[in-house]
Amino acid sequence: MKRFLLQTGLFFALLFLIIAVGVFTPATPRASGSLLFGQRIKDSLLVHTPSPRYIFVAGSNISFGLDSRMLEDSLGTNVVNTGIQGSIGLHYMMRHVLDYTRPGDTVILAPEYDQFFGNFVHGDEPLYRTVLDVDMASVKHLTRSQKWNLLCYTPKYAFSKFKPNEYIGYADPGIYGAKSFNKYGDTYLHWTMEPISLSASKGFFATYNPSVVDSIAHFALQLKSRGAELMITFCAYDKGSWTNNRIEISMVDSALRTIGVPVLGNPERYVFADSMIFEAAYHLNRNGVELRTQRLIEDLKVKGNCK
Amino acid sequence: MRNFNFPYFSRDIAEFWRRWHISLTTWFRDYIYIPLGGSRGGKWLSMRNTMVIFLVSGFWHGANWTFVAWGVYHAFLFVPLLLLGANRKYIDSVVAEHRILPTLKELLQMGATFILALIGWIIFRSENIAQALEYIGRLFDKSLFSTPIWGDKMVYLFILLLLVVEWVGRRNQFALEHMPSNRLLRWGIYYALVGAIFLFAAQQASFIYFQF
Repeated sequence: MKRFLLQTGLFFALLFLIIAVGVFTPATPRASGSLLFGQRIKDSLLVHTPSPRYIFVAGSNISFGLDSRMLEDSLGTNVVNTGIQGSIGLHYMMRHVLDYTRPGDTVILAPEYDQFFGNFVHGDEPLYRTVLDVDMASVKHLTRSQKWNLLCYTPKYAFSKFKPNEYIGYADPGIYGAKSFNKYGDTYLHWTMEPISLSASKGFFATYNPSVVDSIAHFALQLKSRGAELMITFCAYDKGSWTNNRIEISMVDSALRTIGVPVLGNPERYVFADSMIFEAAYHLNRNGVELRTQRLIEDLKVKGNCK
Repeated sequence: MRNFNFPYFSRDIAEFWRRWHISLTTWFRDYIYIPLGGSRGGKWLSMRNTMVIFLVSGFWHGANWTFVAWGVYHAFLFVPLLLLGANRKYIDSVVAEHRILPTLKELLQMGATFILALIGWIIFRSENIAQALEYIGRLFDKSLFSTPIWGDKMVYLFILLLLVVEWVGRRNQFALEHMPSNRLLRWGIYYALVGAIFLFAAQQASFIYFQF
């Protein structure tokens, strides 16, 4: 029995050692080129871009849907686009950007509609990889349940470091990689690419989560205490998906207008025909980016007074 | 008690049922088939008793017609072997008993039995009969002649690896019964298995027997 316990203990001790080696081994070449490493670029922008500025916070609907230079030139204010991927979760995005806001900044939230349904707002694998690969210090932004999920994910993450295709023979991520961002944080490589056909989203497959709007209200207060301001706008969305989900989106719109934060435009204003879409419900091609940015400029000039 | 004896290396459905869920089939044999008369009353009585067993097995799995249909399906596969007296051909042998590789005939037999079992599982796991029929219908539609989507090649590598391990160990109580005596090699295999579980684990699926 003693021998069995000793051997079992040794087995698990070695297993924990293997996991520890995997966790603390630097990010693999494949992972280092991924979109998630865009956070380092965007954090650098947040540190070095002088205030006052517009800081856009959301997932890829803003990285694939904004022309920040156009915004800067029209509004005369610096712009930082922090968008990476929606699956990182809005909770983390808000907590993370809070560290970088300064007096005079305006944070503009443009969350994907999925954030308001189910547990999407808490993030998924991209969040865990962001913490483990990109910035371990950002674990402080996680809630207890997120930390537990991160812990459960850690063995998978550790063992992934030993996969050969993390080092050789991996595909270039192209527009979905960290190198796809321009100096404002916009994804721009797809601006010259042909769009890819899209199937409209048929639903959010989860129930509406009212706590998300509460979190946004709390975030507004936190920004205010730092001398910054929050505004809300709507994500770019393809017409087919909007048609299928307009009741749910209307619910989100109504809820966002109850928290006393300036709202720029309305959901329908940021719905775009398929000819403006790149390859996903939230991603715009160059024409769509220009149109969306133009509408945002108009709404910003009115500062949330139009509907 | 060994409950599964490499059933997917079976050469016919009768052998499959001697190798699949042995504890359950043994119970059915001892408490239903034999009390009903077993195979002592001639071929027709044996056929009746066999049909009863498969029907009961279907009902045993749950309150859904798909389970009953699955039982009936297997009954119709088994009964011809019974009537032809071919249900006990491979009772004491293992496929490719004294060879490393199976013959072409054995390969085809295993392939056919595997496919028949798979079709049964489609019926078994479907929500209802209509879904099962639709699923099976789609297997044999024009997409059969189109280029397959291969997906992650690692999956095929793992399938091949596990197939080889199972094949090499098919004469044993279980495939890994005779592990290498070298502890480093043995533990290396264990850690590789643990890593594979962590890397390829999917979303938790509900255990199908929880419905009982």
